[in-house]
Amino acid sequence: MTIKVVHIAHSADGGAGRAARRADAACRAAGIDSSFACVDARAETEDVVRLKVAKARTGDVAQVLTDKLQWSLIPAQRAPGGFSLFSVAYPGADIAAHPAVVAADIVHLHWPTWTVTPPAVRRLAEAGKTVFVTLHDMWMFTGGCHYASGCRQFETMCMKCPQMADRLGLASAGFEDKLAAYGGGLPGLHVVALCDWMKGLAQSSRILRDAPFHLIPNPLETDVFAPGDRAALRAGLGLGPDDVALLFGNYDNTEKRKGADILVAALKRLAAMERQGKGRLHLISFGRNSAFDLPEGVAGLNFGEIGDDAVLAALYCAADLLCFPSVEDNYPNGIVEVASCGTPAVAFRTGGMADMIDHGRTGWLVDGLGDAGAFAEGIAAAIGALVGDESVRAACRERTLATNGMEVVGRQLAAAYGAALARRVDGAPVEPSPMRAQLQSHILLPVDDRMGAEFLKPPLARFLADNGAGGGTPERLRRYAAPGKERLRVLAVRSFHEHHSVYSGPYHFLRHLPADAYDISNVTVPLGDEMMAEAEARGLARALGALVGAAPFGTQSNAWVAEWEIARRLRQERFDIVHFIDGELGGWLVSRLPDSFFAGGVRPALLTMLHQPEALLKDWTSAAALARFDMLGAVAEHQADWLRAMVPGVPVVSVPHGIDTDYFCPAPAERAAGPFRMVAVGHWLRDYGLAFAALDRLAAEGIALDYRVVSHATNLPPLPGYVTLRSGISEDDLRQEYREADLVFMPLAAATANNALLEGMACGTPVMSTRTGGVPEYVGAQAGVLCEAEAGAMAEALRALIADPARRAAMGRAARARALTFDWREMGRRFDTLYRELAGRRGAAARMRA
Amino acid sequence: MSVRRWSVPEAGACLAGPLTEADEVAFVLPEGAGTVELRGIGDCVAPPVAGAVVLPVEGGFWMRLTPADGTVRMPVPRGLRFVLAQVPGAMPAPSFFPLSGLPEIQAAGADASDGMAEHLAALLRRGSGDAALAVVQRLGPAQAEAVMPDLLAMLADDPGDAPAHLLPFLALCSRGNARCA
Repeated sequence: MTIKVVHIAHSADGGAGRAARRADAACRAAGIDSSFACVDARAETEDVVRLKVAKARTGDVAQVLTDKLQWSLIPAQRAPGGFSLFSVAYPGADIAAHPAVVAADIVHLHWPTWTVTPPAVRRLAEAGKTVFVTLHDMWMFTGGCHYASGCRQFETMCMKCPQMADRLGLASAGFEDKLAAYGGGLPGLHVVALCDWMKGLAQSSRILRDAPFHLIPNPLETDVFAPGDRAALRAGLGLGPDDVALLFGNYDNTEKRKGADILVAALKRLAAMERQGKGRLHLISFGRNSAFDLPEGVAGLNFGEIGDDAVLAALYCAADLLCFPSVEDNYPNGIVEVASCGTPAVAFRTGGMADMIDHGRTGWLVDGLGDAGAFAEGIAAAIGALVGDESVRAACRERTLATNGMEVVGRQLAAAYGAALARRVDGAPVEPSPMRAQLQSHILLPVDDRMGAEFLKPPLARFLADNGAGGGTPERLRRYAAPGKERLRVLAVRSFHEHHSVYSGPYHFLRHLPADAYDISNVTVPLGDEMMAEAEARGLARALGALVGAAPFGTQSNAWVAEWEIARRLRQERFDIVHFIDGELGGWLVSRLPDSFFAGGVRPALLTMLHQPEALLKDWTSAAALARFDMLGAVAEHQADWLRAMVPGVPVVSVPHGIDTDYFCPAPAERAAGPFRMVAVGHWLRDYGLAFAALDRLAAEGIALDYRVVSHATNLPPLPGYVTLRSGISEDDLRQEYREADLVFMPLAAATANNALLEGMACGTPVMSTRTGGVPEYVGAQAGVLCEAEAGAMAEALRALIADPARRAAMGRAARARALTFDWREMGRRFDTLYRELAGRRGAAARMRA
Repeated sequence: MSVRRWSVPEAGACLAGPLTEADEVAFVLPEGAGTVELRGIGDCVAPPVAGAVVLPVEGGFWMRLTPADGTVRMPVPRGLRFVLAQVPGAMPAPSFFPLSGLPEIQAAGADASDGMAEHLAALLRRGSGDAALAVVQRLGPAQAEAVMPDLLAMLADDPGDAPAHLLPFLALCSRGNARCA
């Protein structure tokens, strides 16, 4: 019996949409009854069926998700380094009841964002459909980014997105939503990777690693994209026989990862290079935003958006070389299309390009990712080695026919489908497709705004409500697991601190808990008060914070609101543990609620972690308030001792702050010579007055100093001339500051744990700070120098260190070694032990009550 | 003009309100406490109080004074909704209920019985926080404590338009937290 497949993509026209249409054609060529549908297309054609979806009205959840969240809040929150789209999954289109989906054996998804939601994937699979999803980018296994830009959080858990100031915790909510919906090896879900690079990434991802994988490239109409009469085409474009025609184009050239900036910079260098025996340089460009400011010596031919493949194929044929400076890409259609026309490509040796280009034979791979100079050299080398060589053009064509031909890929898809359905496929081409007739039934699909519970939770739920789209019942999905595997359910409540490094918030241990032993649900609470709109209510919240005995909490109206949302969730869902990771700012209400309030009448075990030094904590909370928790967490032993004395009846554990030692690591190169360079980071409890007083003494002695202060604080003391203030810098720049410093010099007024000291130590930089609070526990005896809070003593210690580079080097090595003992993986093990103990106590308490 | 009287705990704070222009409030300081800090909450200007140091702050005013007789009397200006009174430097430990309420409020308190949680939940779901708080005060600490678990559960199941910032009151009134932590 013929296998029936419906391919579904959000759009027909982007790279994924084009590839999906081709997959549909390849299927039909292989004897599969296949069709393609999307919700967004420039035009409906014989091969493209546009699904009709009901329009969302103003105030509908779907409208708020699209207009207020996806295209308003998210763009406003993008970090300067954010270089690819970040998408929430919702709303979708409710396709389940569509006749084509009902009739299909296989629903094959391509770029399902905003079309088939994560819970809908689960529903399809549970309804008996075999679901294939082709990874046209990384979105299926990330918290929302389509390309991770080097971030590897998707391997464990997306916690803090480096591409976005994620105040609503969208990345962790999106990640947990997908994990719950189709993670853990959802039966019936198959994954198609287009290249080894993407397959490797997806197989390392927490969400998809348990799924069956198929490696199948995109097919191509090799009859449309085929070598043509180059001479005539070039003449038509005004290109001389010796001219070099470079080509560049993407669906949208403003997407940063596509590298338009790199290309323009490279062309400037290329134009200045001496080139032998070649004519004028031309750049043929196409796609959205394809007009570039080209240097003198490079003539531009801009074609804008091209909707006709024949025109595109003509440009490919006429060109000598496709320039593809993307810094992260999967399986670009352009490289396949251009090769099919016989034209080689130059690209960085990264992503799928490294799989697609046979260096020196079908193109040129450039090392030095993202470097415009290297790319210019690569273009020059490719022009010299490849342009004008007909054997190169033949090799490009041969490779494409062998790899991407419709019949070739169709057979691979048929084999994968057949294996999934345990059915053999060897029929004749199916044309026209009966499935396509099903699609053209002009059914109006409802909007699918049923959101998974891990997505529709605070603070996003409050955001939707505040924008007039409250209500909605979250769809509760428990992550698929093999029978008999029980997991502890932990609700982790954390504050969003904008100034925290992506890699150093106190919650990253959650990523390193044993994946099969836990279901973690994060609730992110942004500091501030936008969730409480009325000024009077905010004033009252402050006053009531004092009344409750949690004054700092009261100043954060958002925490006030979130606490109630958390309490509501705990009434509806059973959790084993609730962990208030920023205990100073959470737990005041939940800890006061009686057992009868909670789901099933069982109160979860409550753990609160406290981070502030005693001097502050004694005014921020009280023994009575802390006595309501089942366990108290400290981040330093001395703080734990203080808490034990303050709250004698409650167990207190100490688990230090961790550090990402993979990211924060020593620089490959030696530190540069120059003035003695120091760095300090942050503002909270930093004693810059003392730092400047100590350094002023050295400066007065004529010692050259370079002190980098990385802080967004506006209340710093007057900055001496040797200080450079840096604000709003990227993660990589922050790491570079640590790496290039001779010393992390950061006196502190008080401290329990300190991220900046750990970050510096992990980069192999020695530290000097104040002997206070928990600092000695973190720094130890070998990684740096701790002084009393006195300028003279600090100046003396600094003087000695400046004069002794060998000692500093030894300290740097010791600092790195000590930082490794604080690695997040180790903290994950410690919290695993702690959580099990806490859950055991809770179980014992419940049994006693019973 | 009625005088509503509140006692400021020795180690803590008390909250007076919701208030109306028809009220006058009096804060009785604990014995031995010379100075009190008052934070007015609402869209208002600070009322004239002899000897007080006054600062306008976001959402109201702040004042500090040392009353000669241990009691602060203050008219309620238009827009003033709540006043938080605290002995400076005291560890926060909340007190919510007035030392002595109005006679009619005390009388109404006697009526509190079955159905009170539903009544309060209905008020809060309609967004009538002031009315709900007034009812809670009429109940007195013991009855308030008894009714709060049910009330919180009802609101969690169906919050309607309940004002989130009033939840601390409700939490305070449950599990024996009505007077102090």
